[in-house]
Amino acid sequence: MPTRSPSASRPPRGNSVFINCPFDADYQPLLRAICFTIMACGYVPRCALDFSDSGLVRFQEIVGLITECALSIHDISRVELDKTSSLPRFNMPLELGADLALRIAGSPTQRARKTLVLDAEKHRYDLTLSDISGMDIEAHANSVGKVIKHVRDWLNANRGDRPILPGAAAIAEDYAAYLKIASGIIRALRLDPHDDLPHRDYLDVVRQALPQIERARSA
Amino acid sequence: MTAAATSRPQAPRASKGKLTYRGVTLQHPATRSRFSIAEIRKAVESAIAENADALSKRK
Repeated sequence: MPTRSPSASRPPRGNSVFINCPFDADYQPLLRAICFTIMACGYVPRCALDFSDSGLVRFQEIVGLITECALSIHDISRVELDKTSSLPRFNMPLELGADLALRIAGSPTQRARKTLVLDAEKHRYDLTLSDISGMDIEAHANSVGKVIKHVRDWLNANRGDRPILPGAAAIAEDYAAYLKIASGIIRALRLDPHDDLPHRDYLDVVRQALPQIERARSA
Repeated sequence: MTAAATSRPQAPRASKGKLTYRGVTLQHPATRSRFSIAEIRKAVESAIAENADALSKRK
């Protein structure tokens, strides 16, 4: 399977946040909100979409990506059977396991990793993945507002003595503002109205949009 | 009156390529867009101008 390398400029490890989540259309609103929040907080989202638009990447590359990030977010909410195969998907728990193995038995740098686990329902992991009890686990109820708050609060709690981050409410309002202008951005980029921005375009758009949204909303 | 005294005060110039949002310095993504930064900036400006009333707090 051909994959492409991320751009030549690798972001600093301490600012890089690995995201392990479904890459399907159902999850996309949450993934977009997570990436928006990470960018708004001055960090860089990293995920398999860095390599391939489908997110299909060799496990070795995933582990390499995890090691390049000091922080990681794992969403284990997709516990339903796959609609096509009627079988469960194990990729998310597998990548969480790789991350936890680095925390337990990796180099001193890797043992200092920070990990946030997300699920849709509170304490469902007690039934699906009880070995992770005791970690930072938050329930988002498939809500964009809740996922923004959990990601922002977790990043803010793991900043050491760096300045406090913008509040989750402000980021959520700015994300709502972004959604209002998203179709206009797609039109201005001369894409078809039904097109969605691929991940790599979305991140650059968010980086350019954040300061402009802040200015427009304070006008 | 000197020229300097009559010149308008100017906003401090941002360092090249550096963007900030609510006091946070924004990082560059690890990936590269198919579009140039200029194209994206212009598209965002255009979309914000179209929706200026909806975005402004003074409604």
